[in-house]
Parts: sequence; structure tokens; C-alpha cells
Amino acid sequence: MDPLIGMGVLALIGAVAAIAGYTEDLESVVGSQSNPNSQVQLAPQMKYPHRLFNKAISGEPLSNGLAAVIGAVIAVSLDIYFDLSVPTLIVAGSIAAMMIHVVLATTSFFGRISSQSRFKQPLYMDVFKTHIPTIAAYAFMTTACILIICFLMSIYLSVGIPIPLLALILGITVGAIGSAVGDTHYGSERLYQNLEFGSGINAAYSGNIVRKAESGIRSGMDNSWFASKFGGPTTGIAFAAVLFMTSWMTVLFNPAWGNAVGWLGLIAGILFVAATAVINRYLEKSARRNFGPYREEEKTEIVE
Amino acid sequence: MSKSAKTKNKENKKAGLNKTAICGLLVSLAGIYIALLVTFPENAGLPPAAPLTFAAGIGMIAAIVWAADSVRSISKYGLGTGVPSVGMFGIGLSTVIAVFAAFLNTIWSPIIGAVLALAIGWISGKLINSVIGMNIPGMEKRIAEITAGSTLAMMASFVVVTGTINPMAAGGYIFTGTVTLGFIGIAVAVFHAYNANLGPDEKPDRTRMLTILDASMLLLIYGIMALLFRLGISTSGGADSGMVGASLQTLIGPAVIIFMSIAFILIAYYKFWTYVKRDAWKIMETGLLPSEEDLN
Amino acid sequence: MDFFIDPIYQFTLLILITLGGVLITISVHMIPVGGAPAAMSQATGVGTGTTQLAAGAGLTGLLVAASVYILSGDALLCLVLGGIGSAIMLSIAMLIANIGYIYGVGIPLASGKASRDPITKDRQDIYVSKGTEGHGIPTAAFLSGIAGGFVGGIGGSLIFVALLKSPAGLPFESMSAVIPGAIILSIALFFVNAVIASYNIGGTIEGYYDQKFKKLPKAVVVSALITLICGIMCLLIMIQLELAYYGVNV
Repeated sequence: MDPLIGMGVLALIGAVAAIAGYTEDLESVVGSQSNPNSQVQLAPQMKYPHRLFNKAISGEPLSNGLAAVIGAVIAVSLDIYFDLSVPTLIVAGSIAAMMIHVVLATTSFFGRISSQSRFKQPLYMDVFKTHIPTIAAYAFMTTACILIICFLMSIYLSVGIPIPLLALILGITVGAIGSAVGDTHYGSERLYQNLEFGSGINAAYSGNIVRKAESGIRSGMDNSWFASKFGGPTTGIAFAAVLFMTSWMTVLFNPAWGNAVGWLGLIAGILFVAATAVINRYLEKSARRNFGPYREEEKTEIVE
Repeated sequence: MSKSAKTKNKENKKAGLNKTAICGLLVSLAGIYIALLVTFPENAGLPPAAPLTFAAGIGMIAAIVWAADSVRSISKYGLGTGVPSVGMFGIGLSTVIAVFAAFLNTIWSPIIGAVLALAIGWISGKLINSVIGMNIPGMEKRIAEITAGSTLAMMASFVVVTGTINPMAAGGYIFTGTVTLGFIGIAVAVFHAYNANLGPDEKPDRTRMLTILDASMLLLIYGIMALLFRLGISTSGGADSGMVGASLQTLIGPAVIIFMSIAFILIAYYKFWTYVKRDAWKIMETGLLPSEEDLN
Repeated sequence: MDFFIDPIYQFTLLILITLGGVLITISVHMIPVGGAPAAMSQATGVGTGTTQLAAGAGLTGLLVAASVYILSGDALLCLVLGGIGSAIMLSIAMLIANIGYIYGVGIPLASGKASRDPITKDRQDIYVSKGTEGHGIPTAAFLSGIAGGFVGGIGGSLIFVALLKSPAGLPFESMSAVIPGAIILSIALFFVNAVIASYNIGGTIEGYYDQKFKKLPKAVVVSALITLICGIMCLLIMIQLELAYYGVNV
């Protein structure tokens, strides 16, 4: 294929991936899925009942992988019998995935809250009714974006992997990145916004999450507003970068042109990884210089 | 508390299977065999068609309930890595075992698959427990059950989609990539129920009803998929995808599966909701947080 | 069609599959993962589960490996690029997670397990905030994670390539038909080994300098044995799959 078209497709994949990462992170924040869920789960036990949506389908990778695979399977099956255009297939698949995701989210919320009855955590129906449409919309967006990437990859980049398998791989990857990158901001900043900025959350505060909003009582909606400012965009950047950098290796340095070109791709990959390590080191040093230590250096003994 | 823990330990050490396990094993095997053995004779050059694939669908639900029950027993001890990990371990082993058993191309494939899964699952559990030192009582047995349940569910899904268990069918199932749905769908159906009900007031009947709901949703997707695949093959006439050729008889199974699973979903959801109403501390339309007096 | 199963060749492939499983186990031990506490900045590492992060990285590598194999057919290139693909995924995830820790939460990166960073020799203990066991991914953990991603990607790609090569005697062009089977079996084996490794480390680890890394031999033994059993079945499946596709009767 023409490398120029390849680069164009890559740019499109990157753009769609950024949206997928963004919506994936916001979807998990609205429902308090994944790792920060441990604090939301712990709060009633510490006598802090809350009005957050407690959605524990599973870790983000698996629930997103499932949604993507359901969408892909429905799209592929519809393609066998009906003569539909690709966008229609994507929308139909995403709607099916969204419906299953909503049922899983609903039952998780009901199940987790009613398993905490001894801590007197009420089951608020209005929390359920206001959060479900948001969760559904974000789940639809994420699945649709993943399916768009799958179809682009399989039609233009000729990856040669069936679409459901591709959807599983990309769904698990977007979930892994979403929980690795986006959760931090929600878990250690938003849930503990009353604590001083600039320190890790003392384990003694576990479960003592902020329950008051800017006005009224905090819900998952307020949290998604917060996450859309930092956690969501960074997740989007990370997922787009992963897809762009890994596909770029095979599109620009297409191994079909000869093995030497493939080895050039390897060198480019190594250079990129080295560059991230250098940037990371610079970030680490600048953070230490600017933030300073928590304790005086002289007064503490090194315990080897 | 200590007494119940002691009986629990004893139960875990017992080599035999409990009631749920035996029911799950027998119902799923029976379902698969009913679907496999009741076939219309070969006609007009088409391979024999299995009209009763919905029996395999019921078998799939039973197998998932069995595996989910074991996930519940093992996760109560706290694995340190979350509930989903044990489900993924089981599905990883059982994908390999189920496809292997399907490729053996005999009528004994489901039984061979179940026995292999029990054996390999037991060996893996033993290795994890003794070498890695998890020291979870009954881990061998539980992992064996999770693996066997997932394997049977996977093989039942082969039957639901293709109507047979043979290399041709399993190959077509793999070439189109739709085996992925079995991989992640069964895994989520197995561990979601316990993960979603985690907490000190978790009730077994509520968890089981949620498992049935999850399994029925998976079955619904399988039913839609099977219907569209067979319709597609009947119009294009292409048998090269490895699926069974379609006739009206082959459409009976998927159609029944779709209606049956929708009914199961509605019933299970209603029952789950009644259990939630029974177990929740208070269901409020809206309201502020409980006051200090309420909490003490 | 000529068809011949060479036992020595298949045995070599079996050893390679087992090696791939062991490499995946090693990689999970090297990737810095703090589990749920890390998402609350209470522990060093990436704030997600071991199995899931390793799977995300490994599957990205597998995707790269598969596309390289389809494009070029060179097994060695496919292995190395698969490893690099995983390393790229992990390096981006860790870098942007660190940006989140530094600019979103406002904390320096610090390890709770080592008082000095084993690579840069920076003091760590004074940068650990009160009541936590470190936060973020400092340089040693970062490099350990990149190495872990590389090893894990190679492990996953090794299983994939070994499974693809198993039906000996059939032409390369036919391989694209078997690729889905090889990928789904590799994913299955990847999850099995990742879960074994994460049981061994109890869900969290900081990198190669963590005390838990010394438990590695136990996990290697278990994963080698289980992968060996599964590998036999996988090889038989792949041979049968190829034959089923061509309608060869054995």
C-alpha cells in the first residue's frame, strides 16, 4: 500500500483512539470502576455512606474487552447476512455492546450496595437513574471507536487478524491504559480532594472519601467533570500514542519491503523507548527539585 | 463461626463434588449430548442438522453456574489479585482444552474435555497451592471445577453456534474469530456475579441468580450470532467457512435460543431485583446521606 | 498433499512454547505494578492489576508480531518487534502515568522498597510521603518495566510463532488461515502464565530489585509445567487446524 495513505489512516486511527481513551476513562470514573473502587467500596464500612455509583463489573480491561468483542461479533454476524455499510455495522454492534454493558453495570451497582446492608448504605434510585444514561453513552462511544479502529486496521492496514480478535486485543489494551493512567487522578486526587495537595494518600485515611460536592452531595457526575480535565485527556493521549507508535513501526518501515527495513523499524522503536526513559528521568529530577523532600535529609538515617 | 469454618474446611478437603457441581456437570453434558445426538438425517447433500441446539444452551448456563459457584468458594479466601484473575486462569486453560477436545473428532469429545479439564485444573491448583504457597484450602478442587465448567460452557457454545463438535466446525469458529466471544464472554459470566456482589452481606441465591442472568445474556448473543451465520450460509451457499449448511431445521435451534434466553433474562432480572429488595438496607428514591443516629 | 510430522521438530517447538510461557512469567515479575493502592498513590508502581497490565502490553506486542509475520514472514524479526511493541506500550503507559502523578497529584516519584534507587543512586526514603509506601514509577522501576515489557512481548510472540510453525510441510501462504487460531491460543496461554505470576507476587511488585523478585524460581517451575501440558495440546490443535482447513484426512 502507498505509505502516504498508510500515514493518513494512522493519523485517523490516532484521532479515534484518543476519543476512545477519553470516553473509556470517563466511563470508569462515572461508575467508580477499577482500582479507586476499593475506596468507594470501603467507605460505608468506615461509616462514610456515599452517593457514588459503585460499578464493579471487573477490571477495566476485561469489561472493555467484552464490550468490544460483543460489538465486533454482532457487526461481523450482521455483515454475513445483510448487505450493510460499515458505519451501520459499527453502530449496530456498539448498541448491542452498550445494552449488555448497561445490564452488567446495573446489576453490579445493585449487588454491591445490597451486599453492604450491615453498614447501612442506602440504595439511591435517583443515583442509578441519572448515572445509567451517562455510562451507556460513554460505553457506546468507546465501543464504537474501538470498532472503527478495528475496521480501519483490517481494511486499510491489512492486519490479517479477524475483527473480533482485534477487538479483544484493543479492548483489553484500552482498558489497561485507562486503569494505569486515568485512575490515578481520580483515586488520589478527586476522592481525597480535602487532603493537602502534593502528597500520597496516607493509608490511615483509606475509605474517608470526599462526599460533599461544590454544592450538594457528590455523585459520579461531579467526578466525571473533574476527570474530563486531566485524567480523561491523558488516557486518550496514551492510547493514541500506543496505537500510533506500534502501527507506525510496521507502516513506515514496512517489513514487506525487505527485512532490512523491518530492522530499521526495530531501531526506531528502541530509540522511542529510550526517549521515553530519558523524558521520565528528566521529569523525576524536575519534580524532586521543585517539590522538595518530605523530610530533612540529614535527620534521617538510611536503613539499608 | 469457627464451627462453620471447620465444616467448610472439611467440605473443601473432600475429593467428591458437591450438589451444584454434580448438577452442573450432568445437565451440561446432557444438554450437549441431546443437541448432538438428535439430528435430522442427511438430505439434499447437506450434513445432518441439529435442531435442538437450545439444549446445549441450557447446558452452557448450567456449566457457567457450576464454575461461578466455585469462583465464589475460592474468592472468599482473598486471592490478593482480585476475583477476575481466577476466572481468567480458568478460561485460559479451558480454551485450550475445549478446542483440543473438539479436534479429537469423536462423540466422546465433551466427556473427554470435562475429564481433561478436571485433571489439568487439579494439577494446576495443586502446583499453585504447594509450590507457590497460596495455601488456600480446596484450591485444587475449585480450580478443577472452574476449568471444567468453563470447558463445558465453551464446548456447548461450539454446539450452539455450529450444531456439531468436529474439527471442521471448530475450525470455522476459529477462522472467523468468533471464538473470542467464548473466551471473554464465558470468563466474565463466570466471575462477574461474585465480583458484583462482593461484600460482607453477599447471599448465595442472589449471586446465583445474577450468574444465570449473565449466562443468559451471553446465550442471547450466541443465539443472534448463530441465526445470522446460518441465514448467511443458506443464502451465499458457501460451506467453505466450515459451518454446517443451513436449512429450515437448523434455524429452529437459534430461534428457540433467542426467545428462551430473553425469557431467562427477564425472569432472572426480576428475581435478582426481588433479592436486592430483600437484602438492601433501604431503597430510597432520593435522599440525603444517612444521619449519625442512623449509623449508630 | 505431502504431510509429515517430525517428532524432533515438534519437540523443539514444544520447548519454545514452554520457554515463551516462562518468559511471560518473568516479565510479570519485572513490571512495576502497585495494584489498587498505587491508584491512591499509596504504593510504587502502575495503579492497576498485574495480570491486566501485562496482558495489555503483551497483546499489543502480539498484534505487532502478527502483522509483522503476515507482512514479512521472518520469525526472528517478528519476535523482536513483538517485544518492542510491548515495551513501547508499557513505556507510554508508565510515562503518562508519571505525568499524572507529578502534575495531577503533585508528588515526586519515590520507591518505598529501596532507600536508594539502584540505578541512579538517588535518595528515595525522604521523598516518600507520610503513611504511604512510595508513589509513582522511579527510574529503576521504569527501566525494569520496559525490560519486562520486552521480555513479555517476546514470550507471547514466541508462543505465537512456534504455534504457526507447527504444521510443517505446508506452504507459507497458507499460514494466514491459521493465524487466528495461533493468536487465540497465545492469548489463552498468556493469561494463564500472567495469573500464575501474579499469584506468586501477591498482586504487587516494584521491579527487579524488590524482595518478591527472589520468589521467581517457584513461579517459573509452575508456569513451565502448566505451559508444557497446554503446549502439547496446542501443537496438536494447530496441526489439526491446518489439516481441517485443507480437508486432509489423517
